Amino acid sequence: MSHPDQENRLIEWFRRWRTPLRRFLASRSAVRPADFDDVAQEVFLRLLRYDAAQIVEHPQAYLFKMAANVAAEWSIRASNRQSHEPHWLASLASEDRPEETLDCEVAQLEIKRALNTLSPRERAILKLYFEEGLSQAEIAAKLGVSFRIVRRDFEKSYGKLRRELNDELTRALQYGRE
Amino acid sequence: MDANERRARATHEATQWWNRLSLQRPAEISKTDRESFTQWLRESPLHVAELLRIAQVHDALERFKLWNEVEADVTSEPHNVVPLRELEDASEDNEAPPRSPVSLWVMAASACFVAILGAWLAIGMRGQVIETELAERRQVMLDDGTVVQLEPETKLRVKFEDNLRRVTLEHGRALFRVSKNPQRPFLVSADHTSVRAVGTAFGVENGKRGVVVTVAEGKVAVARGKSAAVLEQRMADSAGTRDGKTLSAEVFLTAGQQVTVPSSGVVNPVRAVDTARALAWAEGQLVFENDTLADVVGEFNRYNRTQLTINDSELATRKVSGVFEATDTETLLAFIRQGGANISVTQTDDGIVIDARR
Repeated sequence: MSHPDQENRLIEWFRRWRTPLRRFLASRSAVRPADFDDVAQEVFLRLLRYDAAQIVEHPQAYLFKMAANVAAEWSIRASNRQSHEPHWLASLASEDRPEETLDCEVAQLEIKRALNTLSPRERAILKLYFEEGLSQAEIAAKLGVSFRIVRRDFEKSYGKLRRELNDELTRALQYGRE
Repeated sequence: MDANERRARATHEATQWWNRLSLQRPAEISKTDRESFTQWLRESPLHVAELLRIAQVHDALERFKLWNEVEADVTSEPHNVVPLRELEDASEDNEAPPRSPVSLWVMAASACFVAILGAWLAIGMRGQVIETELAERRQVMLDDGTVVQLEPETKLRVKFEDNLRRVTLEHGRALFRVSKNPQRPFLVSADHTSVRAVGTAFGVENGKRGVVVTVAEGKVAVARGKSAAVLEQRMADSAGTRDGKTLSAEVFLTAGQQVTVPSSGVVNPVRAVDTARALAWAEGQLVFENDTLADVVGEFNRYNRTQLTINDSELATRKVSGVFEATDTETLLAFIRQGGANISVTQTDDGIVIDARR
């Protein structure tokens, strides 16, 4: 990580698609979990509309940018449809919202609960990655397991957390704060 | 696969992509990976949904602050027990990025076409003109594997570029079975109307009704613009920054839908059609619905060497509805004769003359 070239490339990489990703994460709170697949469907259609050669340059950036746009449009439509639910309007994309939401104790506890459904090694790997900032290779060396196992554990635990984490719970939090 | 299995599979593939694109903290992603990832995303809305969900899981973990409260005592797992996962890992070393069964199917399907048609007619054509004459129907395979079926008196211009497969339908009608290649869209232009597809089957007719596009499989975008190239460029430029706004001129069609763009340029509303009927011409059938006998005869004449002529103006404006084999003139004539005892059908050296008996 200390090599300046590497550092620069990382910054560039971050700028390219982490910003659209953050925008998407911020605006998604305006989408009800039940509507999430419809939003994805719309993103999918937009992806089909564009020249693939263009998307291939920065696929993640395009994906998250479109997702952010669709989610924002969705919330506007939803607020028109359901004017008796004022929080739809209030929840319009704002950059800091996910922080607010996830800072909430309930959200933190929900994540902790979900993490506890993983195997001890899966938990250890995530902990080393997120808390200590180790790379997958470093984690493999530290735990004395193969790189493949680390990779597989990541994939497995993300799949489990995808099913386990309660969207409604983490999403509903911000309304409690309003 | 039922819905749950498909979903689970998409989740798994999404985690694999997320690992590759994000968790491994790559400073750059190879072009091959970016291409496969783009293709994967464009294969199914389920893929998009699951990738976005995995991004949310990752976000939750990044913002999680209670790691010190998470028990992660690996040493409690005895070292002399080799986890089963290790065994299954060995077989999947260097596993390729996920490729969905859909694309495999498409590859298999196009391979079939190659096998059947390759022996018959394989033309490598760059900027080439393909034309059918009167009464000639032809099936041609383009060098990307796309199969085009040309109806009589149809003229196509084919020009393939690195990033775009461009076909101009100057007149007539053709059915396209586009070989799937998301990196290289397939664009059919006809009279300032462009039809854009990735991998699908659709018919385009460029005649006096205007341009008629009918989709049998998959999905296409139809746009009317000054030129397909300008439009294409604009679509590319606007991607990501102004998506959804600049594309109002575009109409999207899915299987079973048809749109007509008359010469006036006002795009008619998309309508649902029975594709078997609307694309019957591709099967060698002509379908008429309240068309004048003159039109019917004109259509038959394109498919047959024996030309029909109507000498009576009243007869020419009579309305006809029915389905005919394009090459079966006999049945058409029998049908016409049923129209009344006062119709005469005469064989001459120049063809068949239909007239009113006075």
